[in-house]
Amino acid sequence: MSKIGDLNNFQLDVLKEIGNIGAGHAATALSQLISEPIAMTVPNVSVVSLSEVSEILGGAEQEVVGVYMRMFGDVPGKIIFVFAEEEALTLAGMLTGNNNESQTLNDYEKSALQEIGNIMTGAYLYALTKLTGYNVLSSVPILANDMVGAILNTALLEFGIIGDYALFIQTQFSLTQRKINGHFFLVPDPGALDVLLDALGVEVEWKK
Amino acid sequence: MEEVVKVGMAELKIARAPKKIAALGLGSCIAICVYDPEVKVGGIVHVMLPSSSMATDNQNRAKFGDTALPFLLEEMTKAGAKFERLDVKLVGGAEMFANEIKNERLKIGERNLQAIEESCKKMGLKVSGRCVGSNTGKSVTMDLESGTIQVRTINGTVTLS
Repeated sequence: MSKIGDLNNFQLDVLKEIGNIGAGHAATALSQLISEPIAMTVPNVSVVSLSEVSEILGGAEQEVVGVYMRMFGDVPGKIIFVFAEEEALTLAGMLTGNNNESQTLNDYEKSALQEIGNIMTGAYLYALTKLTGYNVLSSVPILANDMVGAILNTALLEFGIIGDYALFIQTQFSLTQRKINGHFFLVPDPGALDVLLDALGVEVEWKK
Repeated sequence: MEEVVKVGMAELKIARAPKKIAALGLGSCIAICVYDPEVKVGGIVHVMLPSSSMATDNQNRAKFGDTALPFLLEEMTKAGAKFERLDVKLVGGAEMFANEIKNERLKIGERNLQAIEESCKKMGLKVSGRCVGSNTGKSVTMDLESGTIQVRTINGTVTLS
């Protein structure tokens, strides 16, 4: 199976482009949903040592809201949205039209954030299936309100099976007027990397 | 100045007083914390996966529930700790995305815990304290002067003694 450290720049660029197309669709979906412009960064394909995974978004103990989905089908993996807690509250408020002053998410707001995750993931995966010709489906979204390190550690766990590095495609999108920044992670399962690259005609040449 | 040694995922580190040693943001991973009060040496190994046999790359013994404890004990002994004096505590092993898990095989937190408990039994070590399971992430900090272990979650802090 793939050795993540051996991916060359061209292969990483291809993964970045997949992220770009997918996240572009996802941002458009969110923008239409809330009728506000969304800005998006160029995706980052990160190869990170497992020991540093907790620090990806700043401190490991930062409280965030994460929406997590599994991808099934030809390209198994995971999708995770991460928002800072306060920003998640603002975003949820925009959708529900309520002003929650309690500083914690109620069930209605959690459900709204899960739905955002669902819609954006749908758009992302639609682009991915169009691009690759593969069939990819997503599970129902699950929300966790917890330390960012704990959420990311758990999501990237499977990379431990094949080595000491994790790979993910990360895009940041923001609602500039409201200072909301979300992070979108696409985490292919270790075995799905080859499938993705192969679908786009990129030679997969791994050192065994 | 207070110095905290941070132990990342799949890492093993040993430190001595007056330092502190910590593993932050544990999800389904488990931190095995051992401490020798006599020489004030402590170590943490941050375990990711239950078994080295499930991995294609199992070079790093710190990563797996079945190999981490023997590795930690070796390193502790090298640092001057004595087996008879060791205090063992376990922190972590949550299921972060609880609703997802209907399949037993996918309960990594629980499986990590089982593997480590088994390993402790095999090595003849008694676990004196646990803060494991549930659906919340945990951070553990061990004060190597006193051996006190503090576990933080987003709901508050508890002390394991």
